[in-house]
Amino acid sequence: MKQRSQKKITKDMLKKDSFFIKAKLDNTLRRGISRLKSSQKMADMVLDFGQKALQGHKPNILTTIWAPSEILYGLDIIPICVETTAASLAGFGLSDEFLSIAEKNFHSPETCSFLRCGAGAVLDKLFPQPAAVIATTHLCDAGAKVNSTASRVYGCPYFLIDIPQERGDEGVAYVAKQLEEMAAGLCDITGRKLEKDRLSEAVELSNQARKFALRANELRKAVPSPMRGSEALGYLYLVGLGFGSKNAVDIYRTMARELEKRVEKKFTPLGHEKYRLLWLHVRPYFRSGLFHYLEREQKASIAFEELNHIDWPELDPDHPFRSVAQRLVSNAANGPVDMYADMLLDLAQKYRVEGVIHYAHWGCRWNYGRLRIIKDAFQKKGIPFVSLDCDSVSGQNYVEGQLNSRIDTFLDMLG
Amino acid sequence: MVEIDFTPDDSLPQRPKMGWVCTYTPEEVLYAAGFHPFRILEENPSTKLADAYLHHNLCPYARSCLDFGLKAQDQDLKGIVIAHSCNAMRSLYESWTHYVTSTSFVHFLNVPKDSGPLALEYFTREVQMLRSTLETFIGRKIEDTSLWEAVDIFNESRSLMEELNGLRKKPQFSIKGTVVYKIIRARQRMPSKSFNTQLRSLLEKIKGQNENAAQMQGPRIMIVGSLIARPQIIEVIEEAGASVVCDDMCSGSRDFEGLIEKGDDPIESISKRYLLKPPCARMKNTHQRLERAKKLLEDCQVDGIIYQTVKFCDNHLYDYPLYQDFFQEKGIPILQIEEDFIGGNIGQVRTRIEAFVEML
Repeated sequence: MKQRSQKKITKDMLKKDSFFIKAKLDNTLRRGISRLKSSQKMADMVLDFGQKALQGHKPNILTTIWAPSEILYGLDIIPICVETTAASLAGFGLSDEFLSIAEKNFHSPETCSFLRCGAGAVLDKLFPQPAAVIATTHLCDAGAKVNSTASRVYGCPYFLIDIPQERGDEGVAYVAKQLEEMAAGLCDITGRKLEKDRLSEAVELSNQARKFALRANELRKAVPSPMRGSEALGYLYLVGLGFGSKNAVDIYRTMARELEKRVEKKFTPLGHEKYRLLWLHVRPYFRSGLFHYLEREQKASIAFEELNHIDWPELDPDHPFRSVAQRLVSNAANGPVDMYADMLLDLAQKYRVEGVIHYAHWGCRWNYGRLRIIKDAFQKKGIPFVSLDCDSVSGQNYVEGQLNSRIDTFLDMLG
Repeated sequence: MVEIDFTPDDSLPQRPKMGWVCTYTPEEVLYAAGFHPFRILEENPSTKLADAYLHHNLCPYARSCLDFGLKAQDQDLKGIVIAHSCNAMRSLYESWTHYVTSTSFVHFLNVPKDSGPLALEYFTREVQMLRSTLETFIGRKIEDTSLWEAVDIFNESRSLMEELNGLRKKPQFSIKGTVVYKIIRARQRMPSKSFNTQLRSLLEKIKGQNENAAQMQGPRIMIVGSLIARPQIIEVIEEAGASVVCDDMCSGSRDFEGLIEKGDDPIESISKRYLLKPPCARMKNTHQRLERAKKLLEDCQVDGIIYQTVKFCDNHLYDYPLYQDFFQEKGIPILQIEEDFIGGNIGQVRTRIEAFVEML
């Protein structure tokens, strides 16, 4: 095993040998500094799901990141996600290979690399045969397009859930009706039975996970920060697709307990915290020295990330479709920009940060579209803000020295 | 060859302008509220001012619209309705509300990407909300009779445009693609009654002139894509010796195809036409787009397709591989060109188009 885990992962291995990937990832994770057990559990969850789907133990659905996961868990269906798979491929050093497949098939290099890499994986049939494909429309146009392609490539039904920006009852009711139609369609396809108790249980599990996640987020307000932000930014799959699973409850419960102990001992994995930062959007998922430099060398602590903010109210298990619709519509980034800016300013204040780093993933239109307004909002409050034009999945244009210089200049400003 | 010079009729009462940017915006509602619906689509668009507010990796059309708002040159423009057709339009809405101070009305219209019964029900409610918001703005009710009157006027524009489009497909009428483009642009920007009068008279002229007209020569091209701001690209195709005989663009036939069918409720009738019109790449039903393109291909005896996208238009960029596969299988050559919208890369586009036409 030890010998095998040192081998480089190849594209063929991904298809044939998911156990090897697990071993490789385990090995990778253990190299992290002061990693939480919850992070290991999360990686295990993702790999376990992937393995079950690959081996055909359970039907799986290919979906975009912000999916109605409670409904899928309620139907005992595994969600496999295009964007998080792209992030994993970046971690394995394979994203360029899949980006290249997409580009050879006429996918423009000007598009988001999460989805372009996902498109490459679809075209290469990396994903196990899905029973159906789902996409939600909030935040991103590209996800709906790539998953539409996936439904054609895999020859399976496609459910597109329209998420309006409107947050009122009408908007929620519109989404809820679509979710009901989707659930009925998934039952037809998979032979699963729609049991209200099972859906309610998934919503209840979602609430429990939410409660522990909120507790963990509360604990992260402590000074010094008890968790590395770079580690927290790895919870992409859990935030987008974990809610409604038993695993998410266990992971967030474990995280909250671990953080309680760390806060009690005033432990910070950085050893010493020189700066406190708020991190917006995502991170590089390919191997880079960014966080090593920021956290270990500069002792700049990412106190919190926008990604892990819980932005929906407690759900009502008696009305699962309406509840899940409410959760999707409540996505802070989906709402009006002023509300979104207020939410970020509130995070900056509550986590007592000195500055904000925005990791602007190239090709993410909604994120870039709001950049100036968000920047202005922080500037008005006198909170230093820097936006780093980068990519999360492709490391081709990543110039570490240049990025570090920008970070240096920014940290100098914070004093 | 047909020449056009559409000018508004000054003898008609002038209406204040209400801007729109996406063909999913129900112009009839704006007209019934007393406005002149006016597409923001400058002939020589610029993004200079807007570039300070919207990043350069966003749709240049959205940036040019913001630029237009920031310049505040059009004193008659009272407001804007921005349909949520894509992320770029949403960003435009957000930036317009924050940085454009010259207009007092800005409305964001949610548009579903699906076109099934649930989506139609939701969109109808959204159009009703647009009506209510406009009523508050103008301080009076928008009567059903006014909406039906608007439906008649805009349906007439569509019928006339359909007639022109039908003539365009026939080689003996020699209607240049550039001319059709200019007429569609006039449709989107001129007062509708003036437009209808002038297009009616132009159609008569075209039909009368055909006997002496030289027949269109060269390969027959279909343009598929998002939108163009100026006819430069069509000129390039025609200068290369080809004819543009049909299109699937929102600065083309997607603008006018499909009449509003009258029913009991004008908002329901209007909403149905707009949501179910020939789909943009933003919509779920991509197969419908391909089927439409296939039909145009056969009806217009197309020799080659130019797939045009505005830079960073994800919806159209992601559809290109489907078109490529679909038409390659049928043996129809297809060329993709990506435009920066402000004409900065026209030289490169010209070279590619010339090579493509030569190949045909």
